[in-house]
Amino acid sequence: MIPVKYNARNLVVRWKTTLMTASGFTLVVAALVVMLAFVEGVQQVCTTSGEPQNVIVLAKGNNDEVFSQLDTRSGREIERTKGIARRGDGQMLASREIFLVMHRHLESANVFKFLQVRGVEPVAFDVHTQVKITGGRNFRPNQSEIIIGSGVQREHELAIGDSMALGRKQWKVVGIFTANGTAFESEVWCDQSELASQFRREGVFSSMVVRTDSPAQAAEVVERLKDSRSLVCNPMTETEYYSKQAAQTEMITAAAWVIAWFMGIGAIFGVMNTMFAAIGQRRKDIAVLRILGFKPYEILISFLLEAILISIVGGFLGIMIGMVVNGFSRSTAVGSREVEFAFKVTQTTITFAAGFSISMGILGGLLPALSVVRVQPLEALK
Amino acid sequence: MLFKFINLVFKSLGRNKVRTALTGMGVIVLVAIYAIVTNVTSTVKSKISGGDQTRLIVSERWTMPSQIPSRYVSEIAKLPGVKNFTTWTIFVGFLDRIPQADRQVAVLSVHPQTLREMHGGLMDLPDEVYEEWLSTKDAVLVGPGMMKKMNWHIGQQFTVFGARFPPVDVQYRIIGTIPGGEWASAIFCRQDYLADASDNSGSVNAILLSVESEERAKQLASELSKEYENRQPALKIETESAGVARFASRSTAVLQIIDAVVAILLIDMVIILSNSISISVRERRVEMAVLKVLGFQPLHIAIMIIGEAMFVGGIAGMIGTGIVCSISTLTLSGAIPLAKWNSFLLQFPVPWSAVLWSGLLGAGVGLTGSVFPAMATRKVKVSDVFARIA
Repeated sequence: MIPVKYNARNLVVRWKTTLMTASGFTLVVAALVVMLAFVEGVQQVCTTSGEPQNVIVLAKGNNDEVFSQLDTRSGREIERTKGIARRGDGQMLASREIFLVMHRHLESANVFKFLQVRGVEPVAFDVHTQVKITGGRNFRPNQSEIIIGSGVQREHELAIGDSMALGRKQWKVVGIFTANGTAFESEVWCDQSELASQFRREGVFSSMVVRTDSPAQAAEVVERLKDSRSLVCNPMTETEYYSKQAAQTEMITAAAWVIAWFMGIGAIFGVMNTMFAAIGQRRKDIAVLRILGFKPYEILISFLLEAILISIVGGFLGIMIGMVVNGFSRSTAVGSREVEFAFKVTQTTITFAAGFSISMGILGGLLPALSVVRVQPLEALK
Repeated sequence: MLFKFINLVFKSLGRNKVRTALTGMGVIVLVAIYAIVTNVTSTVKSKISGGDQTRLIVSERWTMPSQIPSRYVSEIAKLPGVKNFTTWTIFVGFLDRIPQADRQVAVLSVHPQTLREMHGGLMDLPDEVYEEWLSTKDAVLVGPGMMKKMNWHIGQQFTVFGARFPPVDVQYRIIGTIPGGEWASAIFCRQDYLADASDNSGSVNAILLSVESEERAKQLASELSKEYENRQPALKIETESAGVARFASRSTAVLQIIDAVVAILLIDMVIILSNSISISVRERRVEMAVLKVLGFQPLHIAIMIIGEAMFVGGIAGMIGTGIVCSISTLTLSGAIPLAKWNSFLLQFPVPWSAVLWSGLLGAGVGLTGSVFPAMATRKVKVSDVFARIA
């Protein structure tokens, strides 16, 4: 086999062309990494938001809390379902919740921003165990008090002690909570009955979240609710609910791959140009290699390797550049809600990007490398 | 002289057909995706910045989905300065009793008499279809993309099983298709029919007003905001562009990523062209030396090189965008079904005027990418080149 050193040295000798071709790969791979990191970040927020032993019950046909409405009769029916866990004091772990998407006028920027507000009862904190108050204190019922997620704190420039208008009332921020980086961090929590009376939601609520002792129990509760003859509703585990929300990013993932492949094809033509030129310039080298006894396929592999080397260098740099966005926080719309997420460059993303880059190298190098086979040694040496 | 010069450019491009073709194809592909992604961002941005300031959207002040009492509609519609109005209520449901994600539809119910005037792009709706729309209560008009996706035909009846509380099923009849464009995937029904069928005549999601002037629209927005501030529910009034901007702001991260991709695409195109021209310049040193001997000035040779790049870039740009426009037209007319790969990127029509702009863009990219390689031709020394040959 022809030593790889031969190809590496050739790339170094033609460093300007090598660098330009590799930079084409670098940009394409960097763009792909950023796009996939965005999708991964959003998906992670959604998939980690639910707890596997929790069951969320929505109105029949609804897959989103915003549009769901259950009445108190349905609530009582759900509470009668076997398998719902209880607290030490006997309180059933079933949380009736009102979820509203509101328009908040942000004075500093003079724009309306979306704000997710969840009205809950005290039991909600035992059902959603990820939610932890990290600053201030919990809200008191009927005192127009709210607690805000850390994402809301950043996006809406709010702090403990601030007041904001929701409906006709001014609500005071009394606490800040985190929820392990889940979608709950992009919400405002307050007293359910107070929220209901403020926004004409008396007697109805958006969803009911019940806690069970284990994920297996949760699956059983879902089945029982589906089979119920007295209740028409849409039950699912909380993890399934949030995963369904993440499914909306599939369209963006597909678009990211379409863009990446188009860009990749452009880069493939670029590497083809470089490799055809390299072969054209080194026809005498090829002839000498053939005379020295190297088989055409060995020379073919050698030139293909050269294209792959360019793609590896370009791909590596692209991944490095793309990784700069890792951990960068932004918010985006997922269904009817807006979630705070961090760009996430995972090992899978890196593997995909590396594979993509090498595939581009192979596809771009194959055709020029095949032309090597057609070189006639004696003619080339004339 | 100019003709000879152009002839020389063509002959140079024809000398290495493989390189010209590869460079051209690289630019075609990149300009094609450039046209697609910039079309998404520019359409959204144009709706925000260039939105009609005489159109106002009235919705519930605080919560989403907005629920405006129907009594507000008649009060607001007869205010001085209001030229026209429609109401919007979105009815979401499934086409089967057992819900399936790919069989979910959103039917937009509107005020029947003002369908054409209040929805851009629907003015071309044929008169006979419009007449039938006005006379048939359960009529729906469907976009070509949706017709193709659901495999529907005109005259067909279908039932939407509502995904709402309390559950309600509504039956519709397709009386015609609407022109493609931004309504390609829409379904329009009559508000009065939805109100009767769902037994909910009490509220609508939003009111869209067309006001006689920009000045009056501002006044009206301010007056309505004050008047409905303390009513239950309170109202929010904003211009159409502000409303679009508010929704678009939820996808700022996506739009920013697309903008970054657009910049990368441009740089990539410049790199591909520049690389190709650099290789070409290196290989044609003898030809350039001969040209110099024949009396060509270095500037002439540089212009020739730049001309080659601009020509390849320009033509490739036009071909790339031409292909995209064809795909966009076919998608929005329903000939190509909407799938995951095209539902985001081809949601807005790519105008044919983009072909011309892309030609200019391609030529610009050619110019940018070839300036430095073209300048390198000045370094070609006749004596060195011929000494090597000798």
